[in-house]
Amino acid sequence: MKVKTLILKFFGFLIFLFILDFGIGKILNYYYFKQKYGEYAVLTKTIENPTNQRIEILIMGSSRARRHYHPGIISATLGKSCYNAGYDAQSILFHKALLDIIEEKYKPEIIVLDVNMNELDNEEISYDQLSVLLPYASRYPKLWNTLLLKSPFERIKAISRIYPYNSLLDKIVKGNIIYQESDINGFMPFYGMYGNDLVERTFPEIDLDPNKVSAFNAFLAICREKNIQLYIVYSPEYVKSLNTSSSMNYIIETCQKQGIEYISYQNNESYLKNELFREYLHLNNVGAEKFSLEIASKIKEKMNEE
Amino acid sequence: MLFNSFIYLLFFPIVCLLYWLFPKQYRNALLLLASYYFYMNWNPLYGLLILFSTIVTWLCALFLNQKEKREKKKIILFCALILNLGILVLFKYADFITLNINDLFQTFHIKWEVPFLDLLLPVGISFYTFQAIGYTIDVYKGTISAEKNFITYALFISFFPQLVAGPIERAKNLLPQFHRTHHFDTANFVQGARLILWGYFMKIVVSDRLAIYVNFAYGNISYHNTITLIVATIFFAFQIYCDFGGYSNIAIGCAKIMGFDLMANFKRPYLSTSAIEFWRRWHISLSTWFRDYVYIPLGGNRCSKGRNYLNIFITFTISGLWHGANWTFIVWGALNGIFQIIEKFTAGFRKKWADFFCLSKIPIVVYGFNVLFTFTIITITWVFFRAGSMNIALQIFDKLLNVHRGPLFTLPLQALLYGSCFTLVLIVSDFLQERNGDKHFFLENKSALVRYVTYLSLVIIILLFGVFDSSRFIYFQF
Repeated sequence: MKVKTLILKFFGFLIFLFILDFGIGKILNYYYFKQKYGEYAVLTKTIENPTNQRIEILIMGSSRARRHYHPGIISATLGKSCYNAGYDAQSILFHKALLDIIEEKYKPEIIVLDVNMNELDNEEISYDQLSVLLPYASRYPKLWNTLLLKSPFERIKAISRIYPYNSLLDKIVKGNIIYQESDINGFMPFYGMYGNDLVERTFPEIDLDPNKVSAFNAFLAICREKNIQLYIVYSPEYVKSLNTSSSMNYIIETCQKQGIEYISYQNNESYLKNELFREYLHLNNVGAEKFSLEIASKIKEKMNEE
Repeated sequence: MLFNSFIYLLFFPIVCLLYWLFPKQYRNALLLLASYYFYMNWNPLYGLLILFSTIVTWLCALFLNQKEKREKKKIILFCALILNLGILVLFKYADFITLNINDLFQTFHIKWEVPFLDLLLPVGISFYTFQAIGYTIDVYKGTISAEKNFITYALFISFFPQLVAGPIERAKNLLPQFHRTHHFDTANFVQGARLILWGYFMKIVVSDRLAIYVNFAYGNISYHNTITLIVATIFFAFQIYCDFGGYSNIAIGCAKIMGFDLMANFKRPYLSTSAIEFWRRWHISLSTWFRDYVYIPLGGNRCSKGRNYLNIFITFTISGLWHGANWTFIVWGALNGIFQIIEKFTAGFRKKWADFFCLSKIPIVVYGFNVLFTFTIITITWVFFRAGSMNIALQIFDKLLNVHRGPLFTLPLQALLYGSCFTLVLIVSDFLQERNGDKHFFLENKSALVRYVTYLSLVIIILLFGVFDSSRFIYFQF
């Protein structure tokens, strides 16, 4: 084969690839935002609030937030509308980016931020997980501030129209055509019971991730500025923790300094029962209902105190 | 710089373009600069280390060429080995040795603790030191003559496609290629691009996807049950194959585009019908290195059976230690040696048994059984390879042997779903390639339509299902 032919074939291949990428990307974009069920439908609802639903209480946090807080129970106890915006495996980087764009659209009265032991740890996975924001970046350019923490090349990568929907195909299909267990205002409980024994764990002292620390402080600042009542909660887990992590020490200290309510269920005896858990970090539906009722009552008490 | 990083996707085409545009006499210098930039991208100090190893072996080889007397040559060779192995021991094994000495002291209640060095392990140190050692031994034996041009030799040690994870090249194969004038060859370009594409599929789509599940399971052994650990261990077998096999394909493909032929490193290892065959197909450049520079000098198979078995055991145990400074790697290597010894020891008996039951009449069944059996025993050894310590490895075996009931851990559902699907694609592709005379059934298909559809499909699959995060290549740590 001659070099000229190779170059022509190569560029022909690239053009074909570009067209294919553009076409598939467009289709994925269309069906992504058309999802009715599943986590991305919830995320779109959280960000865009298309029905202009009144959201007075917003739950934020990782999978533990999503699986532990039943908005129905919280609403019934507090008499305020509630939406669960928890998202699996996400960290404060994501929550802060989410709050950045949410606060431009609507203002919740109360935010419950569920934190975990590694919340401010330097973990690559927290940056990797930010890719769930990619489909929204073209609509909300503010998100690039957070997405560029993942990689300085993220904007270049996003030239591919498929890239923002990387690893999402099965979920987009499910979210559109297969009826699955629907969420209850974002809440997606786990079912089943954990079969393993209670284990103990300790946390070594580590350096915190400066990006996460700054995102956490910015999160608190936005709440303060917008006059949003913030509750930081450490929800139950089926583990006996022998100490508190560096992340949690920082969070607790900051809450004390800034007068933010911090509610901890770490090593809470009434939750060290496997029948309340799906696995060691996540409550099952029974545990979630019990916890939602308790946390709502605690928030009610605090509100009444004020 | 990682092959699966975005920066490498910019780096390689630029280097490639400059390589073909540069006057021929400056191309090696350009590649050397590019290789050092590639390596020093991790840590600039690493450059000094590889430079030291390069200078030492280059000078030793030149001295070896000049000396006639065997004793003097031996002293020079000894110096070269000590210096190269010294670097390796210092950076890779010093803390492991210290840990074991301290444990020994503790056992005998000696209250003295040797301090740890806590040195950062330079990426790919085991690969380039072994390549340098191989070169020195070859010069000592007179198989090759010493390379006089320092730039050429430095490039041989640091050639970026194979610098950090091999294939560990032989001087006899690679050095002469740096003296040749390469002309851009479209066939090489197409072949190289195919290998790169398939390599990225193996790494980004299969290996990194499986890694998500494996990391979940192996990261929290105490929380997982038997079925989850079995699935995770099988996944790890494919993860490491696709990680290292994928890396090797990208390395060979990149070199090929620039006109260099690197040795094949993997030949569908999980289709092996015995542990012996497995090691002829797995990490071929390392296996042949150990064969040539350890096994044969020990006596190889030109000795008594007992001595031959001991040679196999020693070679594989050292090979295990080469992989990492941990007892888990030593046990992994030793087990692989033991399996081969058992196979050799029982060969006669197994043949009689096969004849007695007329197994030759059902070759497909026998083939299938042997492939599955070999895969099973090799996968069992991977437990030691993946576990961070002997304690963890034993915990896993405890869970595997004393069944801990419970459902399969399905939280990383995509890893399970995509991982299984693309592993199946890989198995089918390997099987077809095995039957297709070593030619990739889809990428090297006679039909242009099949080839182009495969290229497009692979790129789209990588974009749709690849894992684009900060994953590392497992073998870089060695």
